[in-house]
This record gives sequence, structure tokens and C-alpha cells, in this order.
Amino acid sequence: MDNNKIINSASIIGKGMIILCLLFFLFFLVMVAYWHFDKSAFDLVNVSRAFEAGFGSNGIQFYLNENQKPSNAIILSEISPIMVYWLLLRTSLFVFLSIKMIQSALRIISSMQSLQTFYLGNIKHLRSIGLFAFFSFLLSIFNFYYSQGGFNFHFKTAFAPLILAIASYVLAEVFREGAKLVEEKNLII
Amino acid sequence: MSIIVNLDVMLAKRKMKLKELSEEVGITITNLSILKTGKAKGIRFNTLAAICNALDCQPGDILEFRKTEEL
Repeated sequence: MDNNKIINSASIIGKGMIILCLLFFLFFLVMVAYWHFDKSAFDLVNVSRAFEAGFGSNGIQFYLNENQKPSNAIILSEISPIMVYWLLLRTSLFVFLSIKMIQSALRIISSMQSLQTFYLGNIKHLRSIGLFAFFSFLLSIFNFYYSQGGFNFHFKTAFAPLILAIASYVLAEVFREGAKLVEEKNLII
Repeated sequence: MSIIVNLDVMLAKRKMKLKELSEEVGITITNLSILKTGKAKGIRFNTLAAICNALDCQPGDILEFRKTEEL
């Protein structure tokens, strides 16, 4: 393929996204590790949204002073270690699935750059994107928070990963047809 | 029904090797082998013309139609 700006931009954005995912995960890991040593350092960190269902960690809010903190907020320094580990596990899974999806997309982009768009490997990559997106959908449906008061379950249907999964599987079939056409074209001498 | 490629017959008649034909026509040996073994799905007019020119023959000398018996 000629020097295609969209493909080149997608490749750069994809690589940037992997770096951002890894940086976010590293930040989260350091935060959890530090939490073990000094819980009071997280007195102004609200993780209420992180215990809601949906794709990813939904965001963590940092307050500058006590007045900004809502009364019903779940504060990182007050939650049990099990919930911190659940938060870490859930975030790790989302980061892992996101990186795997981006990696597969980057492999497809690199094959397009080397003029091998419709080859069988890309069908496999698209199917793996579909599978990871489906796992993301399943993971994003449910979340929970446990405190001494009992369990709080939260359910939400995140359609974005499901649509991505379906679109990837459909694209995989389009690429299968494309691979067949390329094979036939190569057999015309 | 099927199309039979008689390229090997014509090569033998002209006492020409596949490599020589490949060099004269400008098609890779791999592609000529695909054509010779009947694995090709089609042949372009310019390829056919180049082969006919190199072998000094008609398209009918290279390609043959055979009706297959229906069960």
C-alpha cells in the first residue's frame, strides 16, 4: 500500500494507546502497592465509580480537600483489601484485553502496509479481536462492592464492546471472502 | 467439462524447456508450472498471446476442451 495517512495514523495511535494503557496500569499498580503502606494517603481518593459496571475502571476521582468529598463516596483508604484486589484484578483484565485487541489491530495494519491485506492471518486477528471484545462485554456487565453492610451489586449493559465483537466477526468473514478472491486472482496467469 | 492445458506437449514438440519459455515470455517458472499442471483458474489474453508467440502455435494447440462424462 502507498504511504496511506489513515493507516499510518492508526498505527501511531494504536502504539500510543498501548503505552497509555501500560502507564495507567503501572500508575494503578503503584497506587495499590502504596495503599498497603499508607492508607491515609488515599483519604481524598473517591473510587465509587470504579465499583460501577461498565467498560474499564470508570475513573477515579481525586479531591483537593475534605469539603469536595461527597458524603456517600467510597474512599480508597476505607475499603477492605479484598475490594482493592478486586479493583486491581478487574482493571488488569480490562488493560490486558484492551492491549490484546490493539495488538491484533496493529498486526492487521502492518499486514496492510506490507500489501498482504487479505491473508488468512488477518482473519485470525479479527476473530481474536472479536473474542477479546466479547470477554470485555461480559466483564463490563457486572461489578460489585462489599462492605460490612453487605454486597452491592451493579449491572449495566455496555454495548460498545459487544458491537466491536460483532463487527470484528463480520469483518473476519469479509476478509475470508477477500482471501478467496485474492487466491483466485493469483491463479489467473 | 474441463479445459486441458497442453503446454507440456507443445514444449516437447518445440524441444523447449520451461525455463527458456519463462525467460522468453517473461512469466515466472512458478506461474508457468501452475499453468502446466492445470492448477490455474484462468489465463489472460496477453499471457496466451506471449506463449503462442514464443512457441509459434495457436491458442487451440495449448488449450483443449474435454467434455466430462456426467454420472
